[in-house]
Amino acid sequence: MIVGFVSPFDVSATGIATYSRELAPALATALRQRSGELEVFASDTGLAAGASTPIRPLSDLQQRASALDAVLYQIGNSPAHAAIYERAFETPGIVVLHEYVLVHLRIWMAIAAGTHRALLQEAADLYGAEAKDALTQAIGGQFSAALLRYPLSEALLARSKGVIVHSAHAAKRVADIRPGLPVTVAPMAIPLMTLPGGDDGRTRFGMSQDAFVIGAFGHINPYKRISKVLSTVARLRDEGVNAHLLLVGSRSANYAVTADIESYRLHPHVTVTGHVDDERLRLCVAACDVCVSLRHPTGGETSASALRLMGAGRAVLVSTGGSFDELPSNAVARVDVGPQEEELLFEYLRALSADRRLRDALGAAARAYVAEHHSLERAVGGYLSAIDASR
Amino acid sequence: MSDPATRNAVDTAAALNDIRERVAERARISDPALAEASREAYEAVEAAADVSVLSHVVPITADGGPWTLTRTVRRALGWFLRWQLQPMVERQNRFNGAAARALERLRQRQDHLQRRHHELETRIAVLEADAKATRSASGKESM
Repeated sequence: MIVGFVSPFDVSATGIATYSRELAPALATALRQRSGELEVFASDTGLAAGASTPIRPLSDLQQRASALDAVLYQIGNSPAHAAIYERAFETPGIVVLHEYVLVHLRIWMAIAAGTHRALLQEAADLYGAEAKDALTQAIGGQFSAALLRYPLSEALLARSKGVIVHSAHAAKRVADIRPGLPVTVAPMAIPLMTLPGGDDGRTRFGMSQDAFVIGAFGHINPYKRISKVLSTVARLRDEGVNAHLLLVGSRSANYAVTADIESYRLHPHVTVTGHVDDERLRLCVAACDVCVSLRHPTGGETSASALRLMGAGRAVLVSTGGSFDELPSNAVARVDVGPQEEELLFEYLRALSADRRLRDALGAAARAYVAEHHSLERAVGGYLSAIDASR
Repeated sequence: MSDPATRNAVDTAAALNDIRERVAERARISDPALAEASREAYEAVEAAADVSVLSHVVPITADGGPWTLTRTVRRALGWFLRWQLQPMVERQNRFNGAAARALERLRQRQDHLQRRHHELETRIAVLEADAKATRSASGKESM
């Protein structure tokens, strides 16, 4: 059996590249053990030379299609997946849907191709006039949270032979969108992060050794609730906690994080690193006492960054809703989205700043959960089940 | 990090749940009309924050065919006018952000005052009941 694996591999463009770099070699090994083979196709030039699995350019897929028994397409809601989305239409296969909402990808593709009128019509036909209005606003430069109500993944699912998702929440939504399509829940593989010892991270990023460091990791956009975290940090400092916020990730054009930091007069107490490489990422995680991984609304994604932080043994605060609700209540602190969001954030962070035992216990429970439920073996097992089911 | 035995001694789920319940109790507004007003205020402020940012790069699109020329011309115009448009968008975003933050702070303040008002009303009711009981007890004694 020969299986195609199509993904972006440029880690600066999408987190899914990191996911695929870790998963593809393990999947290749598992297939070889079943006398099969994995052929990897990259939609970009992000994969470093010397990769353990040979890589073909995406343009080779069409000519290889007839030789492949199944094709796995890694699809996320960002422009990095545009070429893969198109190929998944030409050569239908199993779609690994990292989020069931693809509206941002579809808007970007329509803008690039100059086909926005057709997209607006598709949205109106599927969801009604409100969806068309929301997309029109987005095409004009104003991206609101309302967009996430309109997945625009229907057409892709209709062409696919099967779907892999990473949570029961996403599986249910896919089943709602396309009843009868085979859906497999494959846990996201998360390698347990080993952190460097000492306080190098704090020194390197200019943070005080005795500060209570709160980390937020991943692309800095409005859905990560950073504004709420900033307000909470300001309140913690007013109450005498030497809180420092470490923001690690690239900045969205749709969220003015610097203006927000200035408005709370937190400039000396917030560090924004931008995108960091693996080594700097470990230093940043090691520098944190606790991490916040809030998201609302969501597009049905499973947060790899939250799971990595949990796997590193950090106490993590997550939003309620979506796949976050599948995390055990002894391993994460849940922050309800609503009028009491900041109050709850404040109380959790105040308690965690004062109680190192609680922090350590929460981090240990988180790491144990990730070790048990998010191993590479389980992820590969899920993929093999999906491949078998699609044949 | 502490040793595994110490970590296991902490019931994290119970400790976190205690915090949640404390916050929920403090936030409880017994008057349904006030609770509804609080929820509506939250949703209105969130809706304002949601549309407060304009993208610096406004996409200019048009379908293919005869519209391609229009698209090219509009893109060229956008490029030539960027020195004038981008500062305007930035100024607008700055104002929008400040307005959204001000609304959020006012909402929080209103919520806080509403809860405080409710607490005081409850305390007054308890004090009045105590005073009434004391008066009626002293009335019986004097008879």
